[in-house]
Parts: sequence; C-alpha cells; structure tokens
Amino acid sequence: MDIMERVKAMTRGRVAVGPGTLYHLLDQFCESGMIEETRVEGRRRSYLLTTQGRQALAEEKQRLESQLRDYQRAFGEEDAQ
Amino acid sequence: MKHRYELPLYSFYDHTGMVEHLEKMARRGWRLDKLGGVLWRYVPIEPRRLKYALVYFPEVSGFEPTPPESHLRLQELCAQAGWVLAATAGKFQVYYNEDPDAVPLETDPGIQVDMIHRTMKRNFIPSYLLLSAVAVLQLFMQISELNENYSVWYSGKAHYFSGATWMMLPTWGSLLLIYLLELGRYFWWYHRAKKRAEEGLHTPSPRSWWIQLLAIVLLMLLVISWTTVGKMSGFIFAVLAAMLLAMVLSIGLSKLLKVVGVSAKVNQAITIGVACILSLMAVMSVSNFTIQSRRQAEKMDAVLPLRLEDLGYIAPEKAWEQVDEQHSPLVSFTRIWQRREYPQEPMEMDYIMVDVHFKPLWDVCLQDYLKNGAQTVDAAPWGARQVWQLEDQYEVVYLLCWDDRMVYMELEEAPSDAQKAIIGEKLKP
Repeated sequence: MDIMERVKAMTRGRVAVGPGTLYHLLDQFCESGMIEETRVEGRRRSYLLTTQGRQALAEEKQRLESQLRDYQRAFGEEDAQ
Repeated sequence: MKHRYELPLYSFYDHTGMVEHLEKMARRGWRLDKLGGVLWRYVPIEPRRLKYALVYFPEVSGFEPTPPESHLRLQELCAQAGWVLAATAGKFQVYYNEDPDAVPLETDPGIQVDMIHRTMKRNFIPSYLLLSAVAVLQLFMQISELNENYSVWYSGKAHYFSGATWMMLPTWGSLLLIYLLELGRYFWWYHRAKKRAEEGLHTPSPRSWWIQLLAIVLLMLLVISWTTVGKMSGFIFAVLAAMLLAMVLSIGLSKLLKVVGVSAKVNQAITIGVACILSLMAVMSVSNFTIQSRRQAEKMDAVLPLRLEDLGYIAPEKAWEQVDEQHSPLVSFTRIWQRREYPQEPMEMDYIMVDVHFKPLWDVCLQDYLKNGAQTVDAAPWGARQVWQLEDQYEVVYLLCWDDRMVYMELEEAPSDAQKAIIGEKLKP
C-alpha cells in the first residue's frame, strides 16, 4: 500500500503526509538507517523498517506512554471526577 | 501556441509569494509552463482554481544533464497525490493540483524550513555575501577616489563630479543596503519560521517584490552612469555589450553540454572557465579597438579653444595635442594638453576647463585647486572675475574664474598682458 494512504488509514484520517514531506522524510530515514529500500520498480520504491528503526519506534512509543501516565497521575483523579 | 512571459520579482525563498501569484495567474487563465533563467513562461488555459506548491532541492545543480533521480522520485510520489509538475528550475520544482482540498505538498513545516535553508545556504546566501563584499569594495574605492590627492590632471573634486563616479557612490551604497536587507529579511524569517515549526505552524515568507524592483532600477542607473558620461562612455557601453554576449554564449554552451550528457560538475567547470575566457577576450578586443581608434583621433586636428599659436608662437612641424572631456549634470571637465617641438626646446601649454552646473559644488572644486597654496593676482588683464597664481615648483600656474567656469592653466613662462587678454578672451564662458 502507498505510504501516504497507509498513514491516513492508520490514523483514521487524522494525519496526512504530503508527498514533498514524505520524500524528504524517506531520504532522512534512509540516511539515518531507520529504513531500508527493499524493492525498486521503475520510480516506485518499497521500504522496510530496520532493526535500528524498530528500536527507535519502540523508544518513541515508551516516551509517549510515559507522558500519558504522567498526565493520568496528575489529572486522572480530576478527570474521574 | 500563444505564450506569456513574465519577469518574476521574488526572492528565492519567497515560496508564499510565488504560490499566490501562480494561483492568481491560473484564475486569469494562465498556467506556468517554464521557469527560465530570467523569465517565467505561461501557457493559456481555461481560467480555474489551481493549487500550487514549491519544493526545494539543496543538492541539485542547475548543470544536471538529465532530470536528477531525486526530481523523478518526487514526481512519482506527487503524482500519486494528484500533484502535477508544472516547471523545474534546478534547485526547485513547481507543482499544481486541480483539487482545491488536496493534501498540501509540504505538511511538515520543520522539514520545509530546513530544505529551504539548506538550499539558501548553497545558493542565495553565498551570492549575496559576495555581492555585498563587491559593493563594499566599490564604495571604498569611490570614497578613496574622492579623497585622493593626486595630480589635478587625473583626479580632484572637479574631475570626480564630472565623471560617473559621483553616481556610483549612492548607487553602490543603495545596492549594499538592498543586499544586506535581503539577507537580514531572510534570516529574520528563517529564525521565526524555525521556531513556529516546532509548534507545527507554517510561516508565510515575506513579500519582497519591491526590493527586487529597486535592485533592477539601481543596476540600470549604474549602467546609465557608466555609459553616458564622457569620452569613455562608448568604450564602457561596448565592454558591457561584449560581456553580455559572452554570458549568452556561455549559457548556450551549458545547455549544449546538458544535451550531450556531460556530468554536472564537468559542465559547471567548463561553462565557468569558458565564460571567464570569453569575458576577458571581449574586454581585450574592445580595448584594442578603442586604443586604435583613439590613436587615429589624436593625429587629427582637435578643435581647441586656445592654442599656443594664439599667443604668438609659430606653429612648428611637429605638434601634439590631446583633448579629454567628461560631463555630468553636475560638472563638465575638459582637459587639454599641447606640445610643440621647437629646435631650441619643446614648448607645452596645458589647461583644464571646469564648468560647474550645480552651484553648491563651486566652492568644493575651487578649494580643491587652491589647497596647496595660492595668492590672488590682478584679474583685470585676464578679463576674469577672479584670478589666483598657484604655488608650483616648475610651472607658472594660474586659476582663472568667471561666474560658472574656472580654468586651471599651466604655462612655461609668465604671460604678457597682451597674452593674458587673449587667454581670457578665448577661455571665458
């Protein structure tokens, strides 16, 4: 599936990535070793997360979960009320 | 097909201004077709709403023989989202989309600002820093010329204000301000946009069409000041025309090398090298032609207001004369050298006629001639308003003044009263 369409589907339309932004992001992720090219068909390219990329993704997930827990500790009781 | 051409007045990073203008043109029935080196080209379409966007490529060179892989990859991604390539200009591409609700081409402001800044660092910023340095150097040279204390024959205040230099001083000064203003505005926008991008906000680029227009007007003033003052104007015009031709030929060569498939680096090296050689050849050819023409002119009889023969000297076989003049709306400056080869010894009479059109400069020019010491002498025999004899070790030097004219004169011996009357009659305005 096209990455732009997949991002939209994964976020239920909340996040849209423009082709220009995606182009630059793919270059940056490739250069930093987060993703690798797996297939080239003409101008269309396929990418896969590398081990380094999966680790970075896991760390980002942990960071966001920590922030959510902090919020629930600070405001969770008020929300419950 | 009918085309429309336009001179774009946008700073390189003014993507907001360019997009707004292109969208306005589409509503008027014109779609961007080509980004030329100087002009943009449009093709006619049905008036409609098109959404435009620009993408910057820091690593791409304008000397690439074929569209670089990066351009083609982006084109493929854009096509998937309905964005169509309108035109390419090496370091940036312009896309349009028929869907007014299409996802913007650049959705991450941080990445967009970063790409623009990286492209600017490789292109606009070094160019403008170099132009600013050239302007500073020119200003330094012009101010030095104004203050120099060389012979009055080749410099001095009257000579300065009769030439093109007085126009170049405010022009280079204004150009320097423009270059610094452009750089300042860019960095102001960049730092603000970078900060707002951290909050996920896009920052429109500032409008700068008035700066571009002012720069063009000032450059035209520079060319006018170089090409319309004095005897050198024809030479300077010919040099500028020859250098323009050299530039056009170099651009043509670069395009040919692209067609042949030469790599970007080789193309750039060859084009720049050929441009330098062609420019040098152009200047040398024009200079050589001018020198030959000038030598020819010196052999002919110049029309002089006052000759040595007017003062009673017999015209010998060998005589040499030269006239140089330059004029500006402020001052007219005419410099005359004469030399006669007599059997006993040669005789010379040289003088400078200065007509001051701009009255406030009268005292400036006068004091410049009197600065090394002078004493007033009786002006009546000369028929002038005021006369000074200047201090000089070797010659007899006078400064004759009428209402708007002063004449600096060097003689080998003190003139008689009769000769003074002839000099005054011949040189008065």
